[in-house]
Amino acid sequence: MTLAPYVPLFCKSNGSFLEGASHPEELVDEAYRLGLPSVAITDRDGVYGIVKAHLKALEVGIHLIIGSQVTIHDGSSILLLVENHEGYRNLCRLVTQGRLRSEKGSSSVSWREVAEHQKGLLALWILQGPLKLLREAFGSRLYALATRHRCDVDVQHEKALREQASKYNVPVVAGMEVLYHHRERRDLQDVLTAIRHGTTVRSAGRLLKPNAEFGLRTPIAFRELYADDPVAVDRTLSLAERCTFSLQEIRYRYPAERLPNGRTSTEYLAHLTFEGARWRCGGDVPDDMRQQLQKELALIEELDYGGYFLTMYEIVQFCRRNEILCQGRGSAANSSVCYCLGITAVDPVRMGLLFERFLSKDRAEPPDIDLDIMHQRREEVIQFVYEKYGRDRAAMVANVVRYRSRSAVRDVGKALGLSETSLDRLAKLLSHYDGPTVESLSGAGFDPTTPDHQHLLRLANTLLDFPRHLSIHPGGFLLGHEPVYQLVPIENATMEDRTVIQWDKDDIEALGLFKVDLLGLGALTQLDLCFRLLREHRGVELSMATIPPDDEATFDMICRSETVGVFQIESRAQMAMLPRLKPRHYYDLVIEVSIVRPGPITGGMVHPYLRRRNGEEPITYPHAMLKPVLEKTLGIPLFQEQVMRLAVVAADYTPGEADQLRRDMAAWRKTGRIERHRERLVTRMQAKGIATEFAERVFQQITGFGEYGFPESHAASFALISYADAYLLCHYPAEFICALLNAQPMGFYSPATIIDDGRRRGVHYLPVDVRTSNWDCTMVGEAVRMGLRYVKGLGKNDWERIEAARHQNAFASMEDCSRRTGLDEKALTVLAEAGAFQGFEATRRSALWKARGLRKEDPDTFLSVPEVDVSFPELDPFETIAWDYDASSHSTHGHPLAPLREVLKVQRLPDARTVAGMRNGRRVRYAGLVICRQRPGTASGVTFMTLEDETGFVNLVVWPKKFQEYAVLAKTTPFLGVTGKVQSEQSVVHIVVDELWKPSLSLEPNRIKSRDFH
Amino acid sequence: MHRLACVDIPAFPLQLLLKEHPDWRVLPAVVVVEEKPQAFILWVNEKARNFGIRPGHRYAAALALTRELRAGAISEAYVHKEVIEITERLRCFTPNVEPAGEKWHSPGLFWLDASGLNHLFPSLEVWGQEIRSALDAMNFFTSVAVGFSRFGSYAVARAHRGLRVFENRDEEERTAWRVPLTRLDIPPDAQESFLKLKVNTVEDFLRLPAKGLLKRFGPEVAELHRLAMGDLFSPLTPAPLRESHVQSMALPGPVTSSERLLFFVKQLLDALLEDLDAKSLALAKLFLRLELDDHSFLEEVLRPDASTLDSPLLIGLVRLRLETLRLNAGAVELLVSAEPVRKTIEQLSLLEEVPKRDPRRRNRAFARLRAEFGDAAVVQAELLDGHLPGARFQWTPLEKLPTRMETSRGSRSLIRRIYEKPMALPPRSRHEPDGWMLRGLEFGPVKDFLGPYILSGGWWKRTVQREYYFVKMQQGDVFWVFYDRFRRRWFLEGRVE
Repeated sequence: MTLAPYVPLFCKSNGSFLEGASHPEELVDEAYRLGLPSVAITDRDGVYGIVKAHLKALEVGIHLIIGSQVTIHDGSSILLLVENHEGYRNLCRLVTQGRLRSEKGSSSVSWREVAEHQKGLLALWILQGPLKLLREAFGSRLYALATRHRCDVDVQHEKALREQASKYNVPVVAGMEVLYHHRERRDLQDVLTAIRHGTTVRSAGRLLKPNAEFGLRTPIAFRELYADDPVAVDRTLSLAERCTFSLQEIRYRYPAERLPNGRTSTEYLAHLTFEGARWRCGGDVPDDMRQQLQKELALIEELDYGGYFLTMYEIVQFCRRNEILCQGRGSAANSSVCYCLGITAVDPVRMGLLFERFLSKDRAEPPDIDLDIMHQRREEVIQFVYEKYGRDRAAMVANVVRYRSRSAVRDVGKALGLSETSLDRLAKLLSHYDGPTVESLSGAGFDPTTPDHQHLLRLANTLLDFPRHLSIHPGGFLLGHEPVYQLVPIENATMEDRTVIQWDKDDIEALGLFKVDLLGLGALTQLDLCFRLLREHRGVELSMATIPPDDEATFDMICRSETVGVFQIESRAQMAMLPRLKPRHYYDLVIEVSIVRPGPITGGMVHPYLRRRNGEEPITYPHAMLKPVLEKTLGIPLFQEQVMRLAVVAADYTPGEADQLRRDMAAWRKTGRIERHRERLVTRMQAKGIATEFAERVFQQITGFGEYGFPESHAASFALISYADAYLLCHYPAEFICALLNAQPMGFYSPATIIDDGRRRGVHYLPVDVRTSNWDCTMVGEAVRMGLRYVKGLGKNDWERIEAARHQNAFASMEDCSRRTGLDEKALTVLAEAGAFQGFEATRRSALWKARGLRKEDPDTFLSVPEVDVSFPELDPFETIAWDYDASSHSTHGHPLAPLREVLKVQRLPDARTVAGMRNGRRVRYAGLVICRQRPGTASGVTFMTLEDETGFVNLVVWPKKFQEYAVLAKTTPFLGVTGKVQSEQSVVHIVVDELWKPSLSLEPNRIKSRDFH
Repeated sequence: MHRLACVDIPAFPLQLLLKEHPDWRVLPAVVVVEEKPQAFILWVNEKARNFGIRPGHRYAAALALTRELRAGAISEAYVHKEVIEITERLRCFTPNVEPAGEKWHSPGLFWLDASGLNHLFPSLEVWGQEIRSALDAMNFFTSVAVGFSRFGSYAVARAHRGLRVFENRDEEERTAWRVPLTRLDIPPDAQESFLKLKVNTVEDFLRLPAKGLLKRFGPEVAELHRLAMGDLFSPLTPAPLRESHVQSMALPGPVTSSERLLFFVKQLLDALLEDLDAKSLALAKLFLRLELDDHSFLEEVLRPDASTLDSPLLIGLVRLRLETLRLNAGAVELLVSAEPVRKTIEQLSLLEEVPKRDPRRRNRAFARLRAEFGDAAVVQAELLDGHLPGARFQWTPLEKLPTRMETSRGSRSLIRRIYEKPMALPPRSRHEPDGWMLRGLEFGPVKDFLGPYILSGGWWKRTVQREYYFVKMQQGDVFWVFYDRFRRRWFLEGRVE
């Protein structure tokens, strides 16, 4: 005889942030394991965990009930379970009301509002609240929930509950508050409670649950607990049967556009697409493009995605109308429709890009179009979307901030009452993803044998990947044809005037909902600023579309690695690759952008590709059938699309299966699902006559670069910006640098390095001057006048005062400037130190002395003794640059090492230019300022450092042993000496470090901000 | 000639930290504002400095430079306490010691009157060395400058390690003027400006106009300027001596009788109260210290219900206490001392109108109970926020009874009496022909029970899992029992009345 099961109706997953101690999947899985027919996920004031629970329930075949524990104004709560779709809408609406009126992280509604949203919902009353009102509203859909957790107050509470229920004829249903799937998680639940209340487990007292009776029970244990009332247990089953709603019922339609002339969205999309195609082709549309467009449009119609494309078109049109530079990125560049609508700028037909990477019939999910927008004006586009669709129909997607190793160690440790400074020491030793280990604990001075530290180890590891709080996705929007709050609750974000839905992008994707990504990109801002400068200053009209392609001088410059400030190809690693790859065409840049990535590097693809490109190795294909797939990358797979095609051609994958392969590649570290492709790929390739060795190698490459490889389409979009940047730097360096300085912060290098690099290109700079400088940098003749935005400590409001005063009259003196602007002493001081008063005072020191006294009254005015004049020594060249750096982190007067060059020469230390010309293998001593320290995960612990002087850069290779030996110097010293051997190959010069030392100089040059370990 | 010395304990809070954690001396260590990762670093030891860690860094950022970094916060109260202790120690070398006040940004600075010591010490060098040795014994590294002026001795002590003794004013001044400005207690903002203006030494500083300094950098810098110029009269203001209220006597042979002891106590106590009365003070606490014949000591503290000068009352309390004492050997020396408080009108009042229910009498009774049975004799229950019955309250000493007790009216509540420590019950027999005899034949078998309710937790210290029941015995008694899962035993927590 089998015992009848029951249904747990009150389960909170870790979607009830810092309360539930199990993942939703764990709860569903455990319910299935216990043989329960259904399980309810009822997170507090939300539906955070239901998508993950839904997917797991589908996987294991269990019925999922959706609900929520809703907080009421008076501090009590009620449990609401969704009966049908209308109930789900009502629940989302109710939670949204409660959330939007409350501070981030809290929610509350009134009993009356609960009653108003009763349709389609079952209510489980938990002793508090007006039972009469609820009985009238919910009728037979109201139950009294008798919870038993073996607490001392249980009997008393249940007695009161049954009395009330009996009075209003409300049936009693059995149920426990489930906070974890297994009682082993009780410790973690205590820790979460302590974290939530900002206390320690030792002092949390009765904030903690009194026992471990808040887990899922077996049917036997549950029935035994309610042995005196089996009817209440049976009622859980009948109640579960009433809840028929499933998330699969959410059929999402994209916002309906008002279409001209009564056209359907498909007709209108086709019209716009072919109109765009004619614009792109300058007249007739070639056959291959026409065929591709028709194929894409047919699929879009079949999948009913027309509205989505029209919306993206609307957004892009808004950007165009308002001169906001934007460009589609990612897989959208595989679509000719996107190209013709102006969403993307790469012609996929010409590039031979794979449309299935973007949209596929086999894949039941909508396309993903990411739009890069110049970062300074992204907010305008966001506001446009809000205005066009209304705040009800447009909400930003959440980013669920989850516990990683460091945050887990910090929070668990604090809850255990451990010293926060010691925890910080431990946290710093951990990598981003891997949890603490016995070794890391020992390394941080903890004793892993003590109980406290063992708890820390165990609980911090369990806490990994738990949600901590909700944040906002950088630019993801969910748009709906009906109010979004009927789809998912909306709540307030931390940022003012921003609302966010309760699901993240993975949830959206899993449910097949559409989202629009509006991402800010600094490089587009810089390009926009540069185009404007060229127009205003030089009368040159240029745009992304009109930049001359395949410019010889530009590619020559790129081959020389002179790419400081050029999008995507400016990093140390990219610069080291450029002379080897020697790009001469746009497509070479596409490869350059893609190849310096962890995927191709760990997949062992870089060197074979370079050897083949340089003719050092024959171009071969493992099978003739793979030639079309791998031809453009010389037989080496470099892009995600190639892997997908390879699977289609060599292993007979359908396009949908190939896309699944891509997804599994991307998530292989987490899920390990890639393994299921191994056998399929290898055996099918073997069957087609491809060598086992190649088949295995392909599989290894897939796992290697899946997570970090670029899709070709994405690289193609980025390469367009790279080329535009490079062209402008090559032909208009002053305007390029001026725009780059005004678009900061962005890119790889500090403003100081950008300025020094420009100086080496012949760009002239004028220092800040309170009489003439604007907030931004400006062009004065051929020179760049530095803007006041670079004066540290000077605010935009200070600038507005200066501008207003200067607009009336030019400043006559420091006193005049001080009087008319009303700037405070701090602002006057920083201006004096930056040299902005050079027009009024002979030296910066005397300006500083004066600035400190301008805003202060004389202390003894009644004596009216005039202040004695004081003279201060002038700044020497070294001091001038040092003051510049202190005041504005850069100098227009020179590089910090320039005044020291003679001293360095005496010490027989060469400059960077001399090092660059040295022969391979020569021993060298060199000293420069550190601008970059990097240890890529792909480099087996090797640290790369870049040093700079007034003539250029010197790259160092520091082997792990040497880095350990000189760790303090390597990590902390801004001005560093190095002894080592020159390694020069194909114009790429490194010094392989033998020794690091501190140069002995009487003067210490200013440090340049270094980009360290990113 | 007036001589003045300055004792500097550089990086005083850091030295305190390393005194607390001697094992950190070999590691990079810093003093932080508070024990938080984002806390600012205030003081840095040499080893941390070698890693590039500087004051003003955040602890979290400094950790990036070395994972070995140790950090601790030093409270102002702790610094203050140590300053008092050092002041007392320095008083062994001169009666006049002035610890630096708040305007001197670095604690650990002391000025000493070095005049007229030639009869006590062979030379000022020896005097200075002995000061350094004394502080060295307290584990402090110090520098000492003996000169003529407050500023001169201070500047030199700050800039030079070890001991420096000046023979004449000119030499002191010359040395002081060469001291780098960065060594002096100048606000960081002004310090930074002086560096920029190339005002590097005291000599450069003195060239700046006093009025200009006052206008730009405020009175603190201007005052230092005046002090350095010799324009500011700044006499030594020594810390006042702490008065002690002690009376002691050697007893005529070992005394064991409490009556005899009381007789001697009374003699000392009367003298002590007279002394306090003369200074308008009253006694808040009475300390008794007996040295016994076996060289051991016995110390007792007595608290009257209110500060008093009433000798009979105090003697009454002493009597109660002495009667409870069991001396291992006879007392050979007796010391009584007082914790004084300022005398109030109430304490002086002779004519008192005594109400019917005089709270003072009640408190006096408590004082007598404390005197006879010790401080823990009069306690009250303070409610705590724990789950286990024993963790829901704690006993705290009751000083005075509240003026009015709230009494609950209405429904009659059951009283649960909790045993101080749960009583172990005999294991439950497998065969219970007469039922479960929880407490033997006297109470009969268990007739009914309610439960279990479960209390479990404390995993971070010692895991507890108890299943609680209320059991009703045949005789009608209701007991509160639990089964301890880990100890596998039944316990009696209390009973219900």
